[in-house]
Amino acid sequence: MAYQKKHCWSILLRLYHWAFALSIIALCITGFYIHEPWTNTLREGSASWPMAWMRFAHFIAGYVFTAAVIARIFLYIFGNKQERIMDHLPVTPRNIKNIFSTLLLYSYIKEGHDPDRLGHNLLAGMTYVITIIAAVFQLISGFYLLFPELAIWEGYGLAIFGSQQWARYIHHLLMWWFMIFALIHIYLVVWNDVQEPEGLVSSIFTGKKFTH
Amino acid sequence: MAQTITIDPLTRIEGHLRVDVEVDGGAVTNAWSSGQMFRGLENILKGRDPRDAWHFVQRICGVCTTVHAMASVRAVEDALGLEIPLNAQLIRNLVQSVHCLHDHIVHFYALSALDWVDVVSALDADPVATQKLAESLSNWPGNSAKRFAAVKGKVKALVESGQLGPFANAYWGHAAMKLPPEANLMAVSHYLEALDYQRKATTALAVISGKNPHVQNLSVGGVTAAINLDNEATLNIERLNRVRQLVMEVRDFVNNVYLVDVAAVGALYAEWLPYGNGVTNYLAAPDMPTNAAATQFDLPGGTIMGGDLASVKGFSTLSDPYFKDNVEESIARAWYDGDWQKHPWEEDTEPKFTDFDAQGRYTWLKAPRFEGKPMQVGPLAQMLIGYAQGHEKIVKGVNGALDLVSAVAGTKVGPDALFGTVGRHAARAVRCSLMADLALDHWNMLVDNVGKGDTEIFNPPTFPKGEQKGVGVHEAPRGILSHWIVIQDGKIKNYQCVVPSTWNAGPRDAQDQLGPYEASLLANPIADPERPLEVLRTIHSFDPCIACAVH
Amino acid sequence: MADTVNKTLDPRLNRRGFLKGCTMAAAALGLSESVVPKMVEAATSAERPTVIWLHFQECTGCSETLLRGTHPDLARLILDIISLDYHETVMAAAGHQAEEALHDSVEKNAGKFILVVEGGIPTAENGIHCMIAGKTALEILEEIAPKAAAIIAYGTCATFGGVQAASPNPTGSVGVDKLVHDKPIINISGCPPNPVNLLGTILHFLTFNRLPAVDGLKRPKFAYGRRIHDHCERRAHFDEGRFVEQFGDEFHKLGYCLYKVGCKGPETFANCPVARFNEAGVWPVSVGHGCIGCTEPDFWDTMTPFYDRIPNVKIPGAGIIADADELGTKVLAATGAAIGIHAAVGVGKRLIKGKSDSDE
Ligand code: HEM
Ligand code: HEM
Ligand code: NFV
Ligand code: SF4
Ligand code: SF4
Ligand code: F3S
Ligand SMILES: [Mg+2]
Repeated sequence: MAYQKKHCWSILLRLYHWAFALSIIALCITGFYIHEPWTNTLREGSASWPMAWMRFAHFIAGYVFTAAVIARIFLYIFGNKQERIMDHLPVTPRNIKNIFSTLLLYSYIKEGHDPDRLGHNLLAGMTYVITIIAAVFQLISGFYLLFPELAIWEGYGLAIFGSQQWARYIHHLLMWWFMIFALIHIYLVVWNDVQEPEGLVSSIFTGKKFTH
Repeated sequence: MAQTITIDPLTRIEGHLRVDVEVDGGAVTNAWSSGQMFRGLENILKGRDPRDAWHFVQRICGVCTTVHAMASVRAVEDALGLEIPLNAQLIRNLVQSVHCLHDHIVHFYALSALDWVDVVSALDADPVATQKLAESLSNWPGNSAKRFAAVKGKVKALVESGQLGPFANAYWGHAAMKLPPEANLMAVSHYLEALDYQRKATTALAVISGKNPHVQNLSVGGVTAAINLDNEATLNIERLNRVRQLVMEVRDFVNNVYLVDVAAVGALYAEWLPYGNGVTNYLAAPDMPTNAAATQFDLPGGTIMGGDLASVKGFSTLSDPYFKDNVEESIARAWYDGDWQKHPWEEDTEPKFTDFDAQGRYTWLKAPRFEGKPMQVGPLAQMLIGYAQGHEKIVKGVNGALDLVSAVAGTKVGPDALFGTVGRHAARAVRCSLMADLALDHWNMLVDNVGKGDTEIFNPPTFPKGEQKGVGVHEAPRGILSHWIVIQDGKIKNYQCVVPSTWNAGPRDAQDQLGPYEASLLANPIADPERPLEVLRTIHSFDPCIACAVH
Repeated sequence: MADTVNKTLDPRLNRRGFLKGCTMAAAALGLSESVVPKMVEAATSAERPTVIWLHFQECTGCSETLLRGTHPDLARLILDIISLDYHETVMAAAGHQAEEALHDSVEKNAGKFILVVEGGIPTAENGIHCMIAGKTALEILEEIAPKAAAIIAYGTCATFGGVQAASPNPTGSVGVDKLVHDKPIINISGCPPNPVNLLGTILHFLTFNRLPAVDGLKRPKFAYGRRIHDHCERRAHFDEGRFVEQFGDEFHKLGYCLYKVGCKGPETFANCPVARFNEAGVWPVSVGHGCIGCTEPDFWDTMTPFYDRIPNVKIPGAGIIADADELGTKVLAATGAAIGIHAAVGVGKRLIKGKSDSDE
């Protein structure tokens, strides 16, 4: 069987992916520092502002993250076939079938990807949708924490989270979701690439996948 | 014919108290004291971090704010066997003594003076004669005819405005009101002045504790007010001096006004001396420790049984087995599930409301018992125990007060005159004066210790696996307070508060022994059952706090 | 004494401007305009405006703050500014006489008085956990609130249920605005609040003839507009990464930031660092203890453990309360372990099957 090179991910999706991935790494590190600053300025007047810098970096990364999330939501509606949300939800028989075949694949019972799927498998797709939903909450809580006095953020923040502390708590717990997600995600991406060398890892750089 | 009167709400106290009395032939023949509000803090604490408990329990009461906080940190420290630094003890003692100044002053002037003082009668007073009367009692600079005239003008304007506000419907002109107009005017003037002095005490307290009500400078393991004489954000000489200055001003007021007013009222109401004894078993906690290990105290603790000063027995530490092993609470007549009398560590608090039933259950208060007996607690208990033990400062204070009363009344009165309604006020005033002195003593000790270079304020607690039990004992303004904690794997497994007002306001037990409020009302005269002022007098003399009592 | 009142009422405000202010306040609070004339009447009458103060499930700490107030102080407040017709802790009358005073005043001042509520309202078992004169707090509120011009819920108990509403809220305690929906309500939170916030609100009303602007939790912005953290004197230490690690340590003695020992200033709205307490120029952070967030809803549950940054996670059903980060670390580690096992199984299978996929 000959490999075919197929276009799968638009440039915008790939840009979004890396903006998202890198901002999350930055946000987790800076966020954790904000939560529990592990440095202590032992020498006063050392002209270092670790907390101020970490927060600044967090907010910059937060804007990148927000832009990425907006791009992703755009693609859910206006992206290519693989990128649209309908391809990620268990709403067609084809998609539902894929859940089972993926489960069989992951439990080493069956081998090989569904030949008719170019985009994410359904388990991955659904997890990404959940992650984007989590990201929306994360950014609303983030902006509520950042601008609590602004009527718009106060309004959304109060309506969704109640107090600042609730927002911060949810914000903090969601951080753990992103870390756990990243761990599983990177493993499965590599695992899938090993299982069936369709060039999965490089697809998120090049936008191309190989199928047969 | 016997008649039952219900007083609900019983006002000018903390909390929701209902008192029912049976009156026959112009005197009380039976009484029931009932707490009307339950919150369930003991249950809320279960499963929480023991280090947080003091914040929660401090909210049991905002009048005796500080005291539950103090008992709570001590309970956890006792369970962990954690000693705190000497500075922490002394700072806590400052919190205790300075808060007490505020609490006792407010109790006498704002909460009970109106039982004895007829504000409207002050309108008939002559300011100059009032000055003469006041000068015969003390040389307080506020006692000028000019001020008395201004106060009289204020009262007049209030009455004429037709908007009496909180003074509406009061007991003006009641047959039991006996003070001459000049004494009334003097008292009203001091009522207003007291507002300024209690505030000074709260300012002093805030300097050490961040704010009040509800201080925020404690922690399990010590206090949080870092000491650094060379920093502006810490406890330094500027802040310490602020405290000292204010305490000195308040002490002047206590000695020249409060103590004197109480003695004067006591003497002018000498016919009240026999009323209100009730339970004459007394119980108090040792407090104001003078060393880190808390084995020496400036306030005496112990028991007196059956009104016999010779029966006095002391407590030597905050967790003396004589105290620790002999406390129980009964819920026989209270709105809780079950029917038991248990040691606090074994207790639970399962609310089960069944309406007011004088023959059955009638209150949210449990009934604390010591060796099975009801005990009266509070300043009177502590002053009597100190007096019986020959505690130097207390003997001096009590004798001084008795001399004052004797002088004004024109007859010699002894310490047994203190047992009743008026005596409770007198003992409180004496204790207040003592606390002002002790505040300054402990201030000195703190400054001495810091001067030696000791700036320790905190020993960090660590929570081992397994179960630990502790008791935190504290002498609150209303008497002995104990918090009983069981910690399991670093979380609170059980928490029980046995509170001064629970001791005093508690109901009958399974043996039908009356609580101190109830017993003290028996035989009280009632001139007019429609306006039962005399009940208020006796109940107020205990300084009730029902939020404390039920929690 | 009535003079003070006349002086306090600002004559510069003409009646039209004033009416407009009231209408705006009423609209902001989602009220019908019918309350406006009453509010006007209350604020402009020559009499001292009536205040009725109800105590429910509370500790009286909030009332106690009045004793600490200085501008105005208590004497001036109750003798010159307002007519405090009912307040169980200070009023002379008791029992029937007290009840009568309450009902007389409510009738006489119907629609005009300011109702201050202190304490939460227990709702479990029909409210029997708090009774006054034979009626539950619920019944009393239901009876009195409709007759008030406006309600000030004073303290975290009255605003958000307070300490007795902490989990598991044994008595079903709630704040006033959970029960009363058709009256202007101002929430002055804090446990207890700074009295300047109550006195400020009352004087704002009497001076400008309208209620102050409020935030989304109905708290006046002049007192709860910003986070503690934004005005804290230790903020420079925060930004510069200088933290107290443990009470009493060298950093504590230098007055560093209390964030790491649990300060909740960054998520708490109040004027504590600006208004300060008890005329002593202090507030909790001044004495080396973090803010515990006492002006925020549910702070007894969301701000605890007080000496950590983030609340514990309650795992539903299991009754387990776990530290959020400990839990997160465990789940992350478990995920790592699961991945390890999954990978090992894959490798094992391959070893057994040999190089089966080499044909592609
Ligand atoms: C070494 C790093 C990474 C590599 C090689 C990588 C690779 C990939 C690949 C190959 C896909 C497509 C997978 C598929 O078709 O199911 C993908 C999708 C995705 N990745 Fe990553 N990823 C990396 C890091 C991350 C990180 C750190 C995150 C965020 C925490 C992340 C978030 C996502 C998301 C949300 C998608 C779904 C894209 C979509 O919305 O359709 N990735 N990644
Ligand atoms: C995956 C995305 C993000 C992660 C993992 C993350 C993580 C965190 C963490 C752990 C904290 C500390 C909370 C604590 O005290 O425990 C934090 C604080 C904060 N985050 Fe994020 N965050 C993310 C996205 C955002 C976004 C999009 C914004 C919006 C600009 C934002 C704004 C903030 C703000 C304002 C704070 C509070 C900083 C402070 O109070 O000093 N975060 N974040
Ligand atoms: N503990 C306590 Fe209390 C009581 N009873 C104390 O003084 O008032 Ni609220
Ligand atoms: S808010 Fe706090 S201070 Fe006020 S009544 Fe409630 S517990 Fe007491
Ligand atoms: S002490 Fe608290 S409020 Fe002040 S800067 Fe630090 S975290 Fe913020
Ligand atoms: S605990 Fe409360 S008093 Fe102020 S500093 Fe924090 S809001
Ligand atoms: Mg108890």
